[in-house]
Amino acid sequence: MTYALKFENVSKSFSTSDAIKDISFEVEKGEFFSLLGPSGCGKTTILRIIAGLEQPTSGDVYINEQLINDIEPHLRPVNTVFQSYSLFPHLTVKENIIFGLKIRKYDKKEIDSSLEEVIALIDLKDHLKRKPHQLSGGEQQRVAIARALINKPEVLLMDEPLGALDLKLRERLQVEIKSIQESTKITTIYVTHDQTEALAMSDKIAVMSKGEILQVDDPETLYEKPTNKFTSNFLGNPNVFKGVIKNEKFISDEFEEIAVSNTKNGPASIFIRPEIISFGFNKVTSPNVNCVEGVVEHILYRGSWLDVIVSVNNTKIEISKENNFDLSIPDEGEKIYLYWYINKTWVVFDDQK
Amino acid sequence: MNRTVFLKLNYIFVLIFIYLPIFLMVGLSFNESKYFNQWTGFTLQWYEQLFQNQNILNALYNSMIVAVVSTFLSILFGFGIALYLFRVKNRFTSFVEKFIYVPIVIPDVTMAAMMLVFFIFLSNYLEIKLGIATTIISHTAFNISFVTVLIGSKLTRKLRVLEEVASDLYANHFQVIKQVTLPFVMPALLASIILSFVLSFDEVVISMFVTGPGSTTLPVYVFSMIKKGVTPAVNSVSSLMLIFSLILVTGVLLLSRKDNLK
Amino acid sequence: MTRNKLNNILGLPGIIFLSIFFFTPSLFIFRYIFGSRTRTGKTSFDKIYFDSFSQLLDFNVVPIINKSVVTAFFVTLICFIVGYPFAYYIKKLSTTMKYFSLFLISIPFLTNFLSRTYSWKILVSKNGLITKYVSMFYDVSSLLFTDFAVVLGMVYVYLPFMILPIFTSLENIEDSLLESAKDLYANPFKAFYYVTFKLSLPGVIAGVVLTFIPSLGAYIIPQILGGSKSMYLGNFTVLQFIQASNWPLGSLVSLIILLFMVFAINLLFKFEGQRNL
Repeated sequence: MTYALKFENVSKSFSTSDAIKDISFEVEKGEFFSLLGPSGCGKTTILRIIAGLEQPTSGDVYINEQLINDIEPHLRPVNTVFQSYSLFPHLTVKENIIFGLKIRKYDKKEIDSSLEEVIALIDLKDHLKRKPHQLSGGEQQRVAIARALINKPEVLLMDEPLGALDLKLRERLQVEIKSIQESTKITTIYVTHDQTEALAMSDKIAVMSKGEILQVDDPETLYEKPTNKFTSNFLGNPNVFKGVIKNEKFISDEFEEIAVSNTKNGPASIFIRPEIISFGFNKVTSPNVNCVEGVVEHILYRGSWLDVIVSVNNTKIEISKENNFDLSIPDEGEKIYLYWYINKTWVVFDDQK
Repeated sequence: MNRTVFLKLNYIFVLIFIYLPIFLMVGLSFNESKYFNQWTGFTLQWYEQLFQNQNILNALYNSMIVAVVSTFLSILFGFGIALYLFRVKNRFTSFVEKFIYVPIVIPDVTMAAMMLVFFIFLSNYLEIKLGIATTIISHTAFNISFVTVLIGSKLTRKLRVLEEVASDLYANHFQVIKQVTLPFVMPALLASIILSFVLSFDEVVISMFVTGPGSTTLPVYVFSMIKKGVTPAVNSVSSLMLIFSLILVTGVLLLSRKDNLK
Repeated sequence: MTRNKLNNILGLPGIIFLSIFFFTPSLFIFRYIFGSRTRTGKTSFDKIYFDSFSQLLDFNVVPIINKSVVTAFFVTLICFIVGYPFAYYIKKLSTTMKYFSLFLISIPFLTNFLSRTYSWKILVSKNGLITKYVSMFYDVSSLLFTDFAVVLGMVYVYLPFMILPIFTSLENIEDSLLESAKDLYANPFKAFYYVTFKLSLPGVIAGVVLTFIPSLGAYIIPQILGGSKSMYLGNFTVLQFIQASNWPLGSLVSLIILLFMVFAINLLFKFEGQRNL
């Protein structure tokens, strides 16, 4: 396997937070790789170590099979798009974009052709002569991306590049960044705390918590088959219950028996995602589904979907349903039945990390 | 009385309070009469006399030399310390960060006294005479702090990120300073050049202690004139000094305003 | 790492300069305090003397300290009473007027101190504008060389030092805070006291320190407006050095001024620290 970037047992300790512990992972050439986790989990530290702005306390970092631990930041074949755009305020947009080429004394012809190439990818033609403070947030971020991209780095690093933008703009730029990455095939490390962003854009996601990587997988596996509690909880908004698994049944304070498809026994939590639960006014009896009875407590109208909170055996289960025509909306206080496929009840045992 | 009316009156009163004496002084410097309570006509004669007064011209020359050299030195030293404090964080730098304020807040009389005893003590062992050199050293000693603090206030997290961006974009240490740090702090640098020049040029008490015979600075000379009384000569030389520093200070204020808007 | 070495070298020249020409001289003051004035005016160091301390009483320094502190207190008080409403008023002005007013106040903050003191001298001299006005009520021919002139002169010179920090802290108060105070049923006075005034206290403290300290150690203003007979800490110190050649006593008094400064700064910052708890 050819990797563009490899971390081998890298640790970095700080007096404050953001430390990382014994991190190992590989990123393939051309991959869009996201580091996902809450703030302070160490994802930015990993990025800064790759860029050379931070020195690892121990462990090795390789780019294209070459150990880069001791290489100064300005000699590394990586470029970063920083969180706060960080354009040089005293330079024009054009001067910002070609900064990296000029510093390395590329001749005018090379610079001009590279600039044209980048502008073909990112539409900035009308802004080239302006100063950064004359641009909107979205435009500034485009310049920052162009400024990194023009250098054709081996690895492109992006540190929450869309964090400061509003939702609509963020979604538009997600599509833009993804399509640029697909057409240039530049290996990209993308740091974000926004799960939908990571799920939508990445080839692979590393979920991080408290300085450790908990799981590295493609978005689908990560969402459907999380291997640990943190990932299960962090992605989506599942209903979580704690109890024991015994003979393919989950037993807890709230539930007498919920069928699961795991054969293992032991203390565990089950995760039932709101969108896999269906409801109806009649009891469903099928060997493939779990069915429980409950009373509608609240209905939250979200526009394109509904969140229904149902009280079941002194606890609450949240379900979410697309707002389409054939959805018959129950009334608050009405008795309904909830049912879902047994194999969709996701189990994480307590001894799994 | 209505609150707004009170505030407005207070505002007008303060501005009159601050500017009336200044305008009066400048006006009187053009008064033909020797007596300040009567206006007999416009004249430039007091200014002409000023430029024929060899003592004043000598003092002006001394002041200029002291201000220029001490400004140069304090920028050199102060900018260096500011960059050092910005880049290096340890116990020593956090001590320096606090200590740097002492020369700014120390009463001028105290500083004057300690510079004097220091130089006199040294003169027992070294060939040191109170004069231009000792004045330059003393002015540099307090100006360094002003420069460090003024430039330091511009060395922010934002600049640190920009420096990181530059090194990420292949700039080496010197290229970072030249391409990013210098342009970023340029307004503050210009402002601190003007400010340390003004502070040195206007300084009285410390200069009075550490200048020797023949190396009197302009403010020290003018101060001795003022003590004697209100005369047309003092009016004109004071007006000139005031207008001179006014122009420079306006420059500083405009620079920092432009910088803040950016 | 080479980068670190380079950074250290950047600060080195300045720090060495300050160590030799600021830090070391400050130590010399301590040595001089324990010297003794000889008959020729030179200072003798052959042993540790305590002459300067006994002279504090012999030369009646205590009343001078008293007078300086009282003067500085009144100057600070007047500056606050006049300066706070001024800062409050310009905060509410339109942007252009605000910056223009700020500009007008900042100019004297930095312009030639000596000239400004002198311009005030013209007003309080015999037949000066203020003298004329005051003499309508009191029987005076000249206000020059009175304590009144000294206090007003200091207010005149140091007022911007009070206004600027207060303005800065007022400017940092968000309008929404005041609105929410009003929303929570505070009347305008209470809203002002509990929100505006309390939040502007850091600026007030800075203003008080910046006014009190130079007033306490002032030399030029008492010398020009108070005359040579009126003694304050600042000109008493200068007198010991320049005329009396009693350097040990001068050093001691200059140190007392410094201690007052340290004390004032500490007291006020302690006060601020307690409030923040």
